[in-house]
Amino acid sequence: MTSDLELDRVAKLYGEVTALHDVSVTIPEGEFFSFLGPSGCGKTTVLRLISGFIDPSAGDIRLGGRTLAGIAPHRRPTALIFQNLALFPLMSVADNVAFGLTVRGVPLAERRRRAADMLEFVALGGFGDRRIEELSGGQRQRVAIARALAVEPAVLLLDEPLSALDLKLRQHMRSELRAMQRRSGVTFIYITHDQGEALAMSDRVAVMSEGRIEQIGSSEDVYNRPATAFVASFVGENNMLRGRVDAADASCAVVATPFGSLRGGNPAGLRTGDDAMLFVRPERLRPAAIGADVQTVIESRVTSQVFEGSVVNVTLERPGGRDIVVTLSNDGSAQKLSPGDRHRFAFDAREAIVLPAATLAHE
Amino acid sequence: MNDMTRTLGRGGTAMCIGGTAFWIVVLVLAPHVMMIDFSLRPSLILSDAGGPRDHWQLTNYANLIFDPLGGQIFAKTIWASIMVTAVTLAICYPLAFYLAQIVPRHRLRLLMLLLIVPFWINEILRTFAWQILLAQKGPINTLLLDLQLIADPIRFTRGNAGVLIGMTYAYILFMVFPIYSAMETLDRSQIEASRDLGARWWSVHRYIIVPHAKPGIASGCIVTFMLAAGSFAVPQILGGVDSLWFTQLIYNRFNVGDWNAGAAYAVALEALCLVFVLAMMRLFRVGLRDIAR
Amino acid sequence: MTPSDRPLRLLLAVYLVLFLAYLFLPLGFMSVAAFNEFRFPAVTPWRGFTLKWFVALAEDPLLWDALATSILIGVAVVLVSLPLGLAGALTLTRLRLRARSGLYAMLVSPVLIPGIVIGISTIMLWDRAFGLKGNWYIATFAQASFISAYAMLLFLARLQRLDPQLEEAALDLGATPRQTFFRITLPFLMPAILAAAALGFMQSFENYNTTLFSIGIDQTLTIYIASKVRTALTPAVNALAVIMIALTVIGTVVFEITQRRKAARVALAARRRRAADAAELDRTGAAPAPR
Repeated sequence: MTSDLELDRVAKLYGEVTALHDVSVTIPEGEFFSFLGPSGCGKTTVLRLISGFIDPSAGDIRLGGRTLAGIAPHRRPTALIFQNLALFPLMSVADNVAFGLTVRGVPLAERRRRAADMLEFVALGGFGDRRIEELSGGQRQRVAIARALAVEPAVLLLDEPLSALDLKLRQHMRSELRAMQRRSGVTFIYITHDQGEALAMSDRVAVMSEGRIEQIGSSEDVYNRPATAFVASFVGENNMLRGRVDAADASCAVVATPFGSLRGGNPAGLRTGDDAMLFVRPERLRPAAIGADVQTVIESRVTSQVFEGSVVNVTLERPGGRDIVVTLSNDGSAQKLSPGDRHRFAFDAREAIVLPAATLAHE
Repeated sequence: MNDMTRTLGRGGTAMCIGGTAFWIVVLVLAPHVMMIDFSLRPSLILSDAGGPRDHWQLTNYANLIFDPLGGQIFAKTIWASIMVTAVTLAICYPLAFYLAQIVPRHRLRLLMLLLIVPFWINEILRTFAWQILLAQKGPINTLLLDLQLIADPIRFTRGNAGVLIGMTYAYILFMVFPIYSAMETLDRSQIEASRDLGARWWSVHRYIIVPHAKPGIASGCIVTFMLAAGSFAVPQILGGVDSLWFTQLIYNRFNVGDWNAGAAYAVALEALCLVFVLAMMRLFRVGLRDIAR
Repeated sequence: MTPSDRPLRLLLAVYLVLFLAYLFLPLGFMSVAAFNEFRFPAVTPWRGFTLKWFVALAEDPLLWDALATSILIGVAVVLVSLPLGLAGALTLTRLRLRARSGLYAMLVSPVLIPGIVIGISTIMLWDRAFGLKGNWYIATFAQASFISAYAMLLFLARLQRLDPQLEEAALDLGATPRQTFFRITLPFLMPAILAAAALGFMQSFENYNTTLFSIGIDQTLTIYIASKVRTALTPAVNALAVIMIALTVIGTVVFEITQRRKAARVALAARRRRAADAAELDRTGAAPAPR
């Protein structure tokens, strides 16, 4: 209650261009919340609005019930971890971490103590006297976090902090960040275009596209129950089949696709005649048993089979579009599928989703 | 303005804008306005100031154009400055090329230092050094006489030779550096490619190097011309009564108290430089940012 | 370059040597004349080695006065030009203006105007406005008009390398704009400030045209030298030249040494960073990546 962050119908326009349309979300205190989306979707704008470096064109941002409008960045209880970290090069590690305390007039002894505590917290105890130029990428990350947490912000904002790091290091830091957030209890607001990151670390995720929030939900919600075609295609790998709805009721819809009529769940309440997209995940397709329901079967020619260790990715030909991808676990069933042959694959209708058609960037 | 107050605060922003305004108005514009005003007023004795004869007129400029001495010297200054610029360019071009494309990197820094050090010595002293060299009984004359190349010592201070030599020496580095900077950015492989295609050295320079170095050449010429046209110490030290420079005319006007004519002459000089700068910029297609070092 | 270029390279190398001789020989002659017993500055005829001109120099009261005036104006010019140059640089980089290039042109224009015109116009302003006829502070203002421009160019170059996120980070952490400026921006600008101060002082010290026309009856060292050169000529001037050359050479050597030290420090830090990065990669590579 005391430090819930609330965005209330926030919009931002730059002349003719709308960066954000009417964004609303409430983030309770202590949550790890991510804004996920491709570049240009507006997530950076959200961060800069919360931190105070730009002002909204419409709407309000409130923290703990009180508006942040008109409050300059240096007086907001938010702290931002910049994408390139922005560590002060002419200062030592300890001076960097203590910076926020120094400018608040905290006395020297206490500053030193709190900076040292913070460095311990991020597992950099004893690094106080080092110079910034000599630190590795991961170490700099932690200094940035220590520096931000030292001022005890209500909200910590992170701008794609892991994008500059090596792959293995990135994965290592993911769990570190998550652990730090849990230990400190501070609200983390994280923006990224990497959906693996967002799903792994967050309590909840807001998927954004072109200045709008498409869906807010837990990682599991957003993956298994996407609310819009954009979310379904952006989060994780998904096969998308476009067509018109042949029949529909409250729970299911049948879509006329190039592979025939296929059935899936109908959470959006589509009706006969609507333009729709049917989504089924690669891992939900398996070789069809004889006599499977024809509305859950895709039959096509196998174009390739790629062995990737624990899974085998099989691609099926789709006339006039991208190949369908089937992900099979490495249990031997893939061996029977030779490229060039026609095979049938089935899915569970409850695991497919029919959503209103939308223009997607990567069709 | 918002961006600025965000990072500098309201007070800081006010100081920055205020400082800039002070600079423009008090240090640049107001003096100019005053000078133009002075130049348009006739030269009056104190009691007449503010009286009926004190109004704007073009007499001072008319005097400059129609007075044989003034007009002649103005023209000579232009011509001689162009000469200095041309000679300096000819001398500096090979050197700039050598530095930019041939000298290996590790030797470059030392060479640059060697070139710059003389230029941190006062211009007056450097000109004075030539006065010693060019004196009637000085080393150059002594050498030429000993070698029996001349019969009488050359009087460098009679006529323009001494002044031109002195100016070339004084301003030569202002030509080397811009050309060098421009040439340095030329990828060596372009030269090699053109030679590989059969071009002789003439063509390589004409078609590849000179076009690339154009901004540098232009800015070097502009600066050299302006320094030469506005030069005062060099003509004073190395010149004689028959090689007056325009700046010396201005000085004379001030010495006799005729600020108005002096102002008109100064405005004429400035107009000359402005016209030259703009013409060169247009001709060579360079912008202001290329010139200011 | 091909072997057939050897003659060309040789020619250019010879050219370089001639050029350097051209630059240094006059200075050499001038310096040698300072030790000549002959009462006019000359190398021929040589009348014997002496140091008496150096002594004469030290005993000349006018010289010391002129030197004091030069230093006074130099310091004053730096105190005026640096803040103005900084104000101009900050305004140009931060204020969103459509007339930005026009503003830039106007601020830089004094650099392109002949020095005597600047001196003349300044003195005319002060005469009209305050009835003053020329003294050290009028000369200061005249010089400041273009020395501020040089300072501004140095600041602009340095500001371009300032990561704007550094200032934003400071603000974000709670520093007021004022604190941000003094703790982050100014320290970052320090190398440019020092360079501008040194450059400004030197330019002011050796300026002739502008100062001559705006200083009235006072004299700076440069003006003093020029008047000596034209009138009462003794090798004392050469002695002064020798001293100035020596100071310049020493200054250059010191500068070079500090530059080399700085480069070494930067290289060391970079090496350490690479080592830290490599070590980190080893550590995390050994840990199994979470699935």
